[in-house]
Amino acid sequence: MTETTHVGARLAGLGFVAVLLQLASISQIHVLGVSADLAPLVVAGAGFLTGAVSGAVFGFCVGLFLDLASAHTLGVSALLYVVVGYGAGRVRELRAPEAPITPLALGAAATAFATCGYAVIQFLLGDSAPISLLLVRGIVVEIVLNCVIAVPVYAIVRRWLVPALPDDPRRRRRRRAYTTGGLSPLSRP
Amino acid sequence: MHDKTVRRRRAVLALLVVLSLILISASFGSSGTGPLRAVQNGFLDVLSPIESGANKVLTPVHDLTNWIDDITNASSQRDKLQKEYDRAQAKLVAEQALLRRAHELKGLASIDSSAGLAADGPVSASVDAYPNSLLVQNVTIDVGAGAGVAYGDPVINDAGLVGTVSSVAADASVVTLIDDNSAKEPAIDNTSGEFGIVTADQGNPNELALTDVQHPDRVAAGDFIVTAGGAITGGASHYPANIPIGVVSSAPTDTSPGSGTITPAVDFGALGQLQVLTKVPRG
Repeated sequence: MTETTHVGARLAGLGFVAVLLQLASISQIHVLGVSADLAPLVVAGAGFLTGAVSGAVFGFCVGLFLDLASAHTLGVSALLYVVVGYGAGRVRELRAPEAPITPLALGAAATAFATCGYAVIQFLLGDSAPISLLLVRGIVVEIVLNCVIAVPVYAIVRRWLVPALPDDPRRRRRRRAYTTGGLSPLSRP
Repeated sequence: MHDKTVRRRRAVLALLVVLSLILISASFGSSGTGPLRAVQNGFLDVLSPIESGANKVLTPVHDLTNWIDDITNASSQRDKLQKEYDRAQAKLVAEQALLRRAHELKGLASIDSSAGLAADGPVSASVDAYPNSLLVQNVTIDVGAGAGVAYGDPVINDAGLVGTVSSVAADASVVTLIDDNSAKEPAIDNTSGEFGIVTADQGNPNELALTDVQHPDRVAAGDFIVTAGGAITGGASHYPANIPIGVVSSAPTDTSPGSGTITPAVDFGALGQLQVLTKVPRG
């Protein structure tokens, strides 16, 4: 099995389980009338770890899966998660942030974009749901809920994907520093 | 190499976005029986058993979260309902007070009318302070000299005679109740017209005594006792006639002058709205 296929298989498994878990369980747990949403967190995490292209493709597949499974207008979630996955990948490629708060910020941004984007697209498509303070409150609560679970979700995504990813030079450097005490094998006595 | 990667990346992004937009357009334009709907329905058919299985597996998790949710909701609902109950209770109390006051005023109007007290200058009053001891039989009311109240003015409520003003300040007065040891009211049996004096019944705070009855056989249990409308001695109150005092509970003894007991018409523990008769003619 090639490296790409391996990553693809893991992403497919991750997407399937995440959407299933979201539909079968997470969506039924309400806090202040709103449930958390795993999809933007998983897509952003995967995009951040695998890169912009993989992230965009993964986002499209997860979004399409969600649209098909929840009988929404096809393509809406797909479009939004393409952007989420792509954006997360580009953040990694351009900035390479390593702060511990990164997954949280990424999760919050992804959730905000996905939720607001969904509302805007539904509005543009002529959904009669009124834009009200209640909706704004719901969006804010969902972002907060997702922030709470963003770090553990990212940790799980990372643990699942990292073994399949090609060796990242930064990771290699860190591993070498850990095993050699920070010295290159050439400089050791 | 780098340009190729960038171009590839942009091409993938553009392709996916365009694909999404095509899907949105197609899905949005299609009717409930279009091909995309059929695909969606087929997908749902495949997925729903898996979803159902996952749902069953995760039932304990749902139960746990629902339990926590129920506890939290029950707690907040309890607080909310307690607040609603307090509000409703306060409203009920206020409405009951209004109703009671309306009944009392109606009763006073009735007694004013039946006893012809309109000319006696009735002034409405409320009780400010009840007796603070078993041995004290007076109340403080919220009107005084400023409202025309004077020493010796009779005080009534919707049930009958309450007492006499025994002390007057500018905006308050003290009323000595008719069950006080010092009180003496001339009264008559409303059936036979037999005269007697109503005083406190010593050792029996719930009753009054009817004394100095010259013809005890003319007073029977159940007769109404009303004010006679005259003064006993100089300086005593002039009660207008025919104000109810009570009902004979035990007829006077046969010996003359006889003495019986009366159950007061007024509940001294709940006087309610009062009237001070400020213009009763003095002898």
